[in-house]
Amino acid sequence: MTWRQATFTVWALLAAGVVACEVAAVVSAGRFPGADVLARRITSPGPVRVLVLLGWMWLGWHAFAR
Amino acid sequence: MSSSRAVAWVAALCALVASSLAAFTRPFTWQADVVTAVALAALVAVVVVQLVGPVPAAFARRGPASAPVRRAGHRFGAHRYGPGRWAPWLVVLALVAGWELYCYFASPRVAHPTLSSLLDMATASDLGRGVAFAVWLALGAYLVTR
Repeated sequence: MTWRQATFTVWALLAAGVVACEVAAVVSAGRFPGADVLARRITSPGPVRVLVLLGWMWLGWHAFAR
Repeated sequence: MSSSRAVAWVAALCALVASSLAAFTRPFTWQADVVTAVALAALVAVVVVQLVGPVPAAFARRGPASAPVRRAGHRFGAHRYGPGRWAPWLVVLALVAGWELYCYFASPRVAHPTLSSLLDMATASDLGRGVAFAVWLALGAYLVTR
């Protein structure tokens, strides 16, 4: 296995971990927080919400324009 | 059809058109600049409307009590989860951050692709760029209306 393949494998495992967290939230009927609750928790302070929005803007410009 | 539902449908149609246009642009061209800038301006406009009010229902923030959480029969509040309930997310996000840092400082980049590299690969084709643009718009809409 090359380093490139190993890196992709780790990224895939991490993506599976994210999906597993969300599935756990759904299956547990709210006993565990899902991505939506996590996002609300992170962005509930106003300044953080502004920072996240700025990050979203930077991401779009970085990915699609420049 | 209620006016808020009509506005939501128009917004979705505009997002579809924008994503289709974005699919056929290339970074570092004025066309890509325009499509991306229009999308950014639209989201900024929604935020401005929310700040000055009155807010149309389609653009109103949903507040802390989201429907799915209410349907689940639980009182909303992130504080209702103890530290142990957050542990899976914390572990996964810490691993993602750690792996991203490792890949960022490792070389060569082709052997250690970062999230940015993965995004570049995903947006290399027209279809991938269009889908990624739509996902990006949906994420922005979620952030301003949640």
